[in-house]
Amino acid sequence: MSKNTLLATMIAILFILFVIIRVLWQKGTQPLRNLPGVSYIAIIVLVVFLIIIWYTHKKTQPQSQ
Amino acid sequence: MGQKLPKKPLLTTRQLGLAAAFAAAAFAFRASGLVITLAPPLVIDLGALMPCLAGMAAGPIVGIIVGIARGIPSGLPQVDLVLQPVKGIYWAYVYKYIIMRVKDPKIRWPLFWVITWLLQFFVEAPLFIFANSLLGFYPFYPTWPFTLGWYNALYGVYQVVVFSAIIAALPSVFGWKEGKAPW
Repeated sequence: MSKNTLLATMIAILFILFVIIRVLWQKGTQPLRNLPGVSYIAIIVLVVFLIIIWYTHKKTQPQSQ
Repeated sequence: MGQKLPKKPLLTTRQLGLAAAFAAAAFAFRASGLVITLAPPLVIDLGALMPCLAGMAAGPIVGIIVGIARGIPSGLPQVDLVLQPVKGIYWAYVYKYIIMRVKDPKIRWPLFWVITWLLQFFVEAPLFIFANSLLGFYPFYPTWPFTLGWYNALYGVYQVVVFSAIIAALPSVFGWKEGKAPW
């Protein structure tokens, strides 16, 4: 299986998981919105995702000649 | 006889990887309800910014994928499953063909700020409010600048700040230093 097929399969599985989470738990609501300090948690989660995005970008850069 | 050229894949490995990463972020923020509270009742849902950022970093198809991921957990999926991917598309093209055409970062930054605000106020807000009014969630569409104008004007400013911070933190992901969209 090529790297691209693997990644495409991963995205498909991710979407199935998203639908399952919505149907079984989240149901269109925002369950954590009223947590105390939600803004700080959101910023921390954003930083974590930015690190993941940067790492993904770095690892999948095409090799220069 | 001409040799058959290898078929170009629809998406590169980088684009697929970024689609997964941005989609996970878009879904996680909306599904959990982790928002940044600004001036109440104004909040910024970081998940709604992800299709735009994904479009800028990896192109319109990735913007569509991430937009769908943001639409799945929405309270109004019939609106978001259509309009969030649309955001990913227009942001990709505006970024590549207008913003990145400017090579000097000293001019590109202010242009980016102005375009971000204008797109929020004159494209995104009217589109979403129109869709909501079609479904009966907003009573009379032409009145939106008077009732929700202040909200969207302020939201546009916060969007400028968040986009700028993310691009400044990860310039290589957005091709900012090179002055070329990386897709």
